[in-house]
Amino acid sequence: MKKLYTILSLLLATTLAFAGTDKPTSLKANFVLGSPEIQSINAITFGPEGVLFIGDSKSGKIFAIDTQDEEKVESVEAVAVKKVDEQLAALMGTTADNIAIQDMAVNPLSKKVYLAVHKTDGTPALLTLENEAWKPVDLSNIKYSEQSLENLLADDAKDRRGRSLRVWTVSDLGYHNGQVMVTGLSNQEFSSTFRSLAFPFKKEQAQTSLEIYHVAHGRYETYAPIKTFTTAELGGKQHIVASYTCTPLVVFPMDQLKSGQHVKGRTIAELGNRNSPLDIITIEKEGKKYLLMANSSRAVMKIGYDKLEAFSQSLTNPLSERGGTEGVDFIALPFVNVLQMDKLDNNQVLMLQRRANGDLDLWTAGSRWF
Amino acid sequence: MVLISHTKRIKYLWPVSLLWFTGFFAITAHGQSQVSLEYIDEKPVSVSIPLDLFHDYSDQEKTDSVQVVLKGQSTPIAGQFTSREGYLVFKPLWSFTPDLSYEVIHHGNLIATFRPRPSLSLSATKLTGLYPSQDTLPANLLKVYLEFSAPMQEGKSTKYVMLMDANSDTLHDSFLPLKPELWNHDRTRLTLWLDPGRIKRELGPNLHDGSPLEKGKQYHLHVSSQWKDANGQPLVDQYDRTIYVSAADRQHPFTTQWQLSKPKVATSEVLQIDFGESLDYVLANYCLQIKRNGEMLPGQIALQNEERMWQFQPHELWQRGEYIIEVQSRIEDLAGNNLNRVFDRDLEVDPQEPENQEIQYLKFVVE
Repeated sequence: MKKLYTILSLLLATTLAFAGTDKPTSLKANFVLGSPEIQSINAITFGPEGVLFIGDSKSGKIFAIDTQDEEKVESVEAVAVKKVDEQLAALMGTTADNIAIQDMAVNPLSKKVYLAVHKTDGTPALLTLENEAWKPVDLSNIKYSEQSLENLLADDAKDRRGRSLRVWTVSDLGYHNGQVMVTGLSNQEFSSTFRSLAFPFKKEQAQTSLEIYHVAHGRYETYAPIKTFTTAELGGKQHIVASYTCTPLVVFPMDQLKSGQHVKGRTIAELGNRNSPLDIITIEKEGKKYLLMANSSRAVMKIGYDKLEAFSQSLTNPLSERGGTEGVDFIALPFVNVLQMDKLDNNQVLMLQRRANGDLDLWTAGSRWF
Repeated sequence: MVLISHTKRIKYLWPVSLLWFTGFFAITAHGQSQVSLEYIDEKPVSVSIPLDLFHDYSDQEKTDSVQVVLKGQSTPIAGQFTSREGYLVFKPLWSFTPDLSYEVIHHGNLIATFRPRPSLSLSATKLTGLYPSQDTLPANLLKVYLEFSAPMQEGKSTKYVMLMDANSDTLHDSFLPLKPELWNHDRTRLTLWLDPGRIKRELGPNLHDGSPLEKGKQYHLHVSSQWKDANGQPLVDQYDRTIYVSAADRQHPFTTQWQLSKPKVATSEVLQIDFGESLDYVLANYCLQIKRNGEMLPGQIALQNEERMWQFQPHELWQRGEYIIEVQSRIEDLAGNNLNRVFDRDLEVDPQEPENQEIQYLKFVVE
């Protein structure tokens, strides 16, 4: 009997021990408490557990900060804020022409809106919307971790004060399944980097760095600096859907992301002259997924994932008409001059839009628009 | 201009020159209270409000409900209040902007206004360089660098840098409106790309709008003096340059064609490398270094002859023997062609994958 008790006790202890380790380790376990030296905020995106990633070109780092904004809500009331730039400027003690909104992100847990703003003297600010008023996010005494973008300081080129002169300006930032993806443009050579960093960050870790090329109509190949991107599951495989600074929309499978490779994106659309996609997100409606793209000089475009999957070839013919578009079919939605866009909840999309009267308004489009 | 008032009654306007370091003062209705701004590195970082200004209120009421706002706005500026020897000190989260008017509001009443002065001790900002230096540029020119004497405001280049045709009509969409812009660390040098989508052959924008610069034509590059520096002060002067356009450059630079001078042993003669063409101003400055026995040679680098000539003045005397010049392959000519590949490689003409050599080496012997 005693032996049975011993076995039962051991079993219980083992179960408890496993129960203890069963709880997933927080992604924030290696965060430190302090004041991150954030010098610029060029791009922001949320990961899980209320972690906000900040792309800082000036310091050449990606910061992961714990916003402690983790309370999950399924849906929220539509957000509507008029003259956002004037409101932000007033809070920052200046005028709207002295600030520039860098990026917008919605926390997928709390659905709270965050904006990265720079004063024109370069001072960065992070703000969030609470009870219809903008509040600064205090970036001192917070939990955070950081990762330098490799090679940034490996460059031999230093100025007289010993600082690297080569800046990789973070053009976009994304998070998917334990990977932080960063695109950067050089202020020197015509080039781009696409890096993938494992998260949680580690002191020593390999970074996937790709050279991405674009071939125009099967003939002319150039480096292809990426302006904006998102991830999408197409045909059962994860893909990057990206737009290059030279306008085409391309896809490439994520399993191609092997360091040092010469990667060519498959061009699936050319979206017309004098236009460049600004933001790409994924929405879901009635069980179907769509990409929404905000553009510099065209309306917001909606493309079904099914259309992306069906478009298996790569564009090889030049655009047939001036200002025309070519490639995968899309629907133009009646929204122009949308500068920032993110999913507010499953049924609503948040847009920062320059209105015809010049006002910069934040407003919410419900699912009927899509 | 420095201005202070108390409940809209201006009693004195002190000469600016006397208030250089101390900010400014206001004589209140009671004749003794002063409001002052604190500047750090020329930035107005806090305002001290005398508690005397709240004389009609109890001690508790003196400091609650105080707000600092931008004149004409109702949103309080984000920041922190602290008390210090008879003053309430307000430190905004982001420093005040020079030359804007601010108001101190207490229980809804205007207590004082203030206007931070511009950075008077700093010299006015100039455009110190525009590269490439030469006036005749290839039709597929990829980049332009603008250098300034002090940090500039960011995000404004599309408004203040203009390319015009021979009739002075502004040509829109010539430069790619990148956000964020490509500045160096201290925002004294901006890299502007001529729209690569219009330069890259066969791409829609190239086919329909053509390259931003056309061979044989003349253009005018204008930088407006309205562009402000980081302290909010406009540039001293506008800048204008006439550009003549030659044929597109579709050859990548070959280091084997570079001409090297022969410095003599036991001298500190300048080593010159003649590229035979103008190269990218920034890359040419930073992509070459000289080594001897694996050690980098200290010296002064300069570019001459419109970035066609690289000069190296050694800090030490040349020694007899072999020196190696390491050239990073990312160095580009004016059309974005680097040592490994041309900007837009024609796969039908040149189907071979380009070399992926990071460094190319040149040797020279000192005798």
